[in-house]
Amino acid sequence: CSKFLNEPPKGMVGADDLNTPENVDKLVVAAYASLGNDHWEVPYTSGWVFGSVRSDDAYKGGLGTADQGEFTQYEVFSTIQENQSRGNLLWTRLFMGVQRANLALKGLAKMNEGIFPQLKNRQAEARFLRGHFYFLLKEHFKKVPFIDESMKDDDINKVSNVQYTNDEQWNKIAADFQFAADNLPVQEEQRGRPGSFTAKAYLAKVRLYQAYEQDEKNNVVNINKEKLNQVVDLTTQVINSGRFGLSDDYAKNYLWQFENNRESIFAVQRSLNDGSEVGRIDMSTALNYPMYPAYGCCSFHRPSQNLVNAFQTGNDGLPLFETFNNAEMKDSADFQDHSFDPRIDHTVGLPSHPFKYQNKIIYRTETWTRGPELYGPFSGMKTVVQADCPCLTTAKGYAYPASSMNNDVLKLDDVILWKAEALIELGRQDEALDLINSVRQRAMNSTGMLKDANGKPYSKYVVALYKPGININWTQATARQALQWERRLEFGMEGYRFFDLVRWGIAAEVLNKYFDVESKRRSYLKIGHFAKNRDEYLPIPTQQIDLSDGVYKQNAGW
Amino acid sequence: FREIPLPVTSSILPHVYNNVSGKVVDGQGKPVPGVTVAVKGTSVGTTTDEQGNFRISVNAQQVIVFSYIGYKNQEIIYTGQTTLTVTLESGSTTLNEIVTVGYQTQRKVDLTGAVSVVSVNNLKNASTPNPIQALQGQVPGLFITTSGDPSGAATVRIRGVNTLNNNDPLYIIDGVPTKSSAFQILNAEDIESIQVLKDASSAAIYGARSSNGVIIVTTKQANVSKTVVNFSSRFTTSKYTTAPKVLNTEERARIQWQATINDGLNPDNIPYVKYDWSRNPDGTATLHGLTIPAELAPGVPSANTNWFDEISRSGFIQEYNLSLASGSKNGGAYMSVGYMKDNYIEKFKDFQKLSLRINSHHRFLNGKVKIGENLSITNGINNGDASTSSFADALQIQPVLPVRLPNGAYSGPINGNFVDHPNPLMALDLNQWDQINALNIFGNVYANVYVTKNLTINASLGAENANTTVRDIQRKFSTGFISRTINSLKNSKSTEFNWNFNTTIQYNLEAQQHHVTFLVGTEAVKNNYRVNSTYKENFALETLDYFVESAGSGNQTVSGNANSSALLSYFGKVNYSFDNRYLISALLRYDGSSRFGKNNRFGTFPAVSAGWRISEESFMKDRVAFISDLKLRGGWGTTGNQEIPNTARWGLFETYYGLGAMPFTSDNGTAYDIAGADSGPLASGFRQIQIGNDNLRWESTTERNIGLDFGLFDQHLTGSFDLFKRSTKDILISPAYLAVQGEGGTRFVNGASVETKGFEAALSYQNKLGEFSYTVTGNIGHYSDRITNLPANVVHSYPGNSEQTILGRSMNSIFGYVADGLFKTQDEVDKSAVQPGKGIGRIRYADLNGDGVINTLDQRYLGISSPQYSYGLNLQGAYKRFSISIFLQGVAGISVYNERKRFSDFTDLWAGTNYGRRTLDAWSPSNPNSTIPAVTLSDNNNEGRLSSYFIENGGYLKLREVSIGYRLPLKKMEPVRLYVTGQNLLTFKDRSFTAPDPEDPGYGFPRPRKIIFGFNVSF
Repeated sequence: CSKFLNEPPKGMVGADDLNTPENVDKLVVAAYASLGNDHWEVPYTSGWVFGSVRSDDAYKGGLGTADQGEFTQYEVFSTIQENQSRGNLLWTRLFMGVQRANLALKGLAKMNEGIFPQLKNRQAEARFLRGHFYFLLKEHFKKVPFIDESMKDDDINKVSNVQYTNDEQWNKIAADFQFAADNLPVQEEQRGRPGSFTAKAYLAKVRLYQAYEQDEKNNVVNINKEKLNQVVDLTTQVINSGRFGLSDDYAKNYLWQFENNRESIFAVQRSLNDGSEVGRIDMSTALNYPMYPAYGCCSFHRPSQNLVNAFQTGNDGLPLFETFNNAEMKDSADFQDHSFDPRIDHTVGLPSHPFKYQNKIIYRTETWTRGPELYGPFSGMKTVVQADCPCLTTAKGYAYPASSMNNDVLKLDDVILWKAEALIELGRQDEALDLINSVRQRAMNSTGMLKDANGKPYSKYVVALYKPGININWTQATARQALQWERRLEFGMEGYRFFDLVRWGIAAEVLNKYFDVESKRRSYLKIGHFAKNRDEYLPIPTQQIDLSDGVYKQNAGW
Repeated sequence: FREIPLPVTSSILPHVYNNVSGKVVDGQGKPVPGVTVAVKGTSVGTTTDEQGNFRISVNAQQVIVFSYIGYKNQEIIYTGQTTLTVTLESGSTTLNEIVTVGYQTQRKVDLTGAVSVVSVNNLKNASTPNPIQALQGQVPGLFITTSGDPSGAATVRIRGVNTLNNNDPLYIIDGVPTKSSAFQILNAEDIESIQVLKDASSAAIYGARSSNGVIIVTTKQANVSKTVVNFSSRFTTSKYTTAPKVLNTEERARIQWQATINDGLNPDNIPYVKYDWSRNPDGTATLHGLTIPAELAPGVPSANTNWFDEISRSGFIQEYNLSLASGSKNGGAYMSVGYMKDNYIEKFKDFQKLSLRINSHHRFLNGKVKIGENLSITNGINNGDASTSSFADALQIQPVLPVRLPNGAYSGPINGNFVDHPNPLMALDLNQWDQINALNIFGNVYANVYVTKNLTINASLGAENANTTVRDIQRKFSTGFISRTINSLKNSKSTEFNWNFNTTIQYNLEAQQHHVTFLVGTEAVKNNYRVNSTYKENFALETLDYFVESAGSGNQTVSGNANSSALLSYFGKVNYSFDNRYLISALLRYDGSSRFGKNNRFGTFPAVSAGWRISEESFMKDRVAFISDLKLRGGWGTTGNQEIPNTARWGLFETYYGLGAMPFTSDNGTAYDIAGADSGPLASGFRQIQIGNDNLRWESTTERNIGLDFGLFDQHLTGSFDLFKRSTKDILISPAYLAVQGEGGTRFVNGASVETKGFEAALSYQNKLGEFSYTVTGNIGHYSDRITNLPANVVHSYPGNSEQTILGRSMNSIFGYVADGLFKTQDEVDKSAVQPGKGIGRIRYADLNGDGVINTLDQRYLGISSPQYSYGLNLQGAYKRFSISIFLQGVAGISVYNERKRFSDFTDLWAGTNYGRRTLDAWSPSNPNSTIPAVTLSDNNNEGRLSSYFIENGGYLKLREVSIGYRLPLKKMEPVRLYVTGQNLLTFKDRSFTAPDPEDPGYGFPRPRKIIFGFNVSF
């Protein structure tokens, strides 16, 4: 009768069935798949919620403050709860990525190079991926428990998020990237996999964040020179590797037809018509399309007035560091009467301008946006693809467009500006000048696609390089300001801004000043307030603290 | 004390069949018209005419039952008489009723467990495809929640909730167990009897699957020489009566203006509407008038649409049932066919059900062997989108949109000021080719061998084949910003095939006053499930007939899944009675299940019960005149539950290539475009989905029951009372786990415990006043559950916070903030606790812990969302040819989360929708006594949070049914019964409940009001 009661599962396997080279290789693939398994409910491939809406770059958008309402709480900070479901989900989803990497490493540990020649490569890739998920965990949550492939289920439950100091935690992440850098080939095997310079670039990012040493209350108390020197060294290797280069036109970083170009160092690969019903598409930004019929829905992630103003330039072609936010640049005429950095028209959908380089498709606030009375007249463009792109899929879930355009994780312009940042903080700002100017020069050159049918530029573009002694007095302080401004313009709406502000230790100052002014323009921001020494990081989700039986400790201020 | 083996039959052989005629008179010798005369266990029956005369076909030794309201039932064993005169005594009796319990039948009077016998006659006037639904309010302790879903879905709970898992009871239909498809299988016309086994001492014979109670349904059999044909039909009109009250175009524009003003924003930025307004010196604003433009966009005229009117219609239901019963000494057959079609109150939706039944049997070897079968084939077809009601969409779309454009095309949300939902009428129209087609074949073949007078062997092989095909056609459309540019077809087919084989041996022993019955048996059950689906895009034509897979030319995918389970059981039962006074029953069941780990594969389920018929004692019998029947019962037993996935015990990985639909939550795919090719086949890996547990074992429920059955005043007043307490332990749960465990940390364990207590009472009074006879039957059930134990890591999966947990509370507890009125002055705002977003006209939340800050600790348990009391009242009367029945049903002690309030009271919880009329009465300085928060566009105060603002008293009393019948006398024919029934006629609800129907506080299928005309012909 035990035979009668034997009904094994169908279409599923047990862990032991996976111990073959082919299947272990697939465990690595599954870890890659985790990169793109996010969704608008907790985007992490795109930082539009936690990096952009939480900063002075953007508003949540959508159909009122209650639409994806938890994001409003993150946007205004003052109403965040420690047990918010999205915060818990973000933590959970990122650890799913960590686990897939660990499962792959566990499987790989049972192989040898005799039966599986790519063993070292795959181990390096799995550790690269684990490093990536831990980097995301670290920048969102600060205190993170570190799980590796050697731990059993019971051990995993006992790991505390304060087992290591802040610095040691960064070192754990750095160790994964160092291993990857040491063991990956220079030439990546397939475009979706990292090569050794990819790992070095990510390692540079880790060291840069680590260099800004924080105390328990998240105050930046020291900038570590040794780490900065490592950043300079690593970024120099990446820049000089000959494997990467800036695109001639900034637009190419935001167009599907140019994805995986030389500027892209590591990207989450998306696909369509790939044998799955809907495609392995980018759902993380699927709400961020405007309500134009060729797109559909849902008008989330809307550029702030502050961001639009920040693109203004003076007659000298430099940013208006002090006065940029005095007046609202919002009407069509404003963009002809004042001068702007051309990156504004790569980043922001502006009233009556062609949208996303499509001269036949003119952006209209009143019909393209939701709740302009709440969220102003602008729309974001960088994650939106062109309406005729074969990568755009609107057909199946009619109201929710999404595309197979990759999400860049590391780009060369980012690496160049890390190097500049490290040099400036090392007091070598003169060496940073050319780096910043190389990014500005490219921006200056990127107006080719910003001309309407008659060849007229969408806006009045005036932009210049920094010329010490001519248009700027280049000191460490001014260089730092220029660097910070450059990052904001170069990566506007890309989800880095909040993390930059926290790294620099200026989040509270910048954001509370932003709320003061912006709340007069957008009344829902009246309850916006950044609590210094608290809001630099999300709370460790109460759900996890409870489940850990108190093994996890809460972040400062919560 | 008589035990009769299943299926219902008499062990004495029929040799003589006859047509007998006779007369029924009362105690004064006056004829009684309208008496039901039936041959027990068959569909044969008639009623007496004006002179009390009847004629019926009956076999020798069959039992003829005479019943009439206000009189005791009389049962006569037919021994070959050609005429019969029967005198009915006033009063009533159901004592000798034979009821079906586990694997055997028993006299009701001998029962020692809590078993309710359903009056099947009460089901006859209702119009529903699901006869179980019609039990609502009829049986104490049976809690049935219905929806207006045309296919008749209902939630059935026996004695409330008992486990954190599936709480559905087990159904036994003609001896074949099924957990799922009883709703689809049954046709009310075919039902002979329904018994509900409520306590563990009666249900434990079904062991592993019985902890939620057992409902036993027996269908009709043929057993006569004469052929009896029965035809009945019903025609029903149904009407949508519970539409929410919403704003019209002008009112919505006005509220939008008010909300904009309240927020300090400029109303001139509101799209379309031109407001004539001015700012007063004191800062307030006045609206003088507003203009809606004739066109919202080129080619899109403005409108004032009532979307509820647009999507609803007057429904119509037609039902036809034809049955035929015919038999001989060597066997017989009952056949029936039924058809119903419900053109639902939502346009483009209908439901059809065709049912077919053949129950037949044959006798061999001088009647020592009986072989028979029961077979039902039912086909339920849902056309249109059956998954949800469109009424929520009708609430979300603004009245300013027209239904159609001047060119005849459907309109839709034209821009971002509208919710991203399509025109609900268009959605209904486009989905009209969607279909769910459920084909169920259910039945068994059985053999009864009467080896000796006392020894019977029974065997039954049953099978259930449930085939469900789902067709989902997505057609192209384009309205405003919502469009679909690729059409597609998705077909999925699932098959559930279960078989079950049981054999029992029963031995009866009678010696003087001792009566003993032994029953032993075994049962084996196998369950196989498989689903396959295909998906194809791009069809050149959009006609229903063109949508087949090969006609598509685009992307295609297939998917499929399967699982299976098995159960193997052994059981035995002993019933003993002494002198009809003392009754004892003991049983044991031993069950093995494929779902459990190798270490705990088998479970044991014992039960004992006893009864004492006090009225049979010499000190009572004939001495206490007003007590005609009195029995005390007590029982104890253990039942099981195994409602976990078939694969729950295994540690598993799976490959998950990609999603089968546009995802609304995060993906868990294992495929990745590692080559950066952007299209083409992908590499795919594995993900962990579950951690194994070889120690998994049964969840078990131990129940104690004590009951009293009584009949007073010559059985005019009868009733029963039961008190029960049950505790469930080792509840199968898959606890939440630390996120660091990663994906698939799911692990089923035996963890929680729950305790349920309650009582049930039923009381019935029958009597007559002159020629008017009547019955009043009432029942009430109460239960309360509490979670007594939960693993620490599970507690926080239930409502609660770090200081308060669900332990010791009902699993249906609601936890949230306390809305403490509205802020009316700045002073109140300033003096209140820190609450981000607070302000005048906003909800004040109570600072429950007094720490000056409103946060998650300021929450408490606000109520329980399951009813504490559930009751029903049946009034039946008969006067000459007329009969009337009135049925009321209600629940009390229930807190309901009124989800509709999010729309009826707020303008900010989902901008872009239409709003409820209550917003017209929202708080403002000029309306300072309103309890509805001021209208606003941004929910800064987080008023959508779960708070007492949304919790309302969901108690109700409903006049479910009023039915008036008339028997039309026809010459040479049985009377034709005509009736008219009204359903869902009146609702009495708490004043504080703000939505139309407390049974539907969300957006379920509305319950239509129905008027039914029906008739019954038999010849």
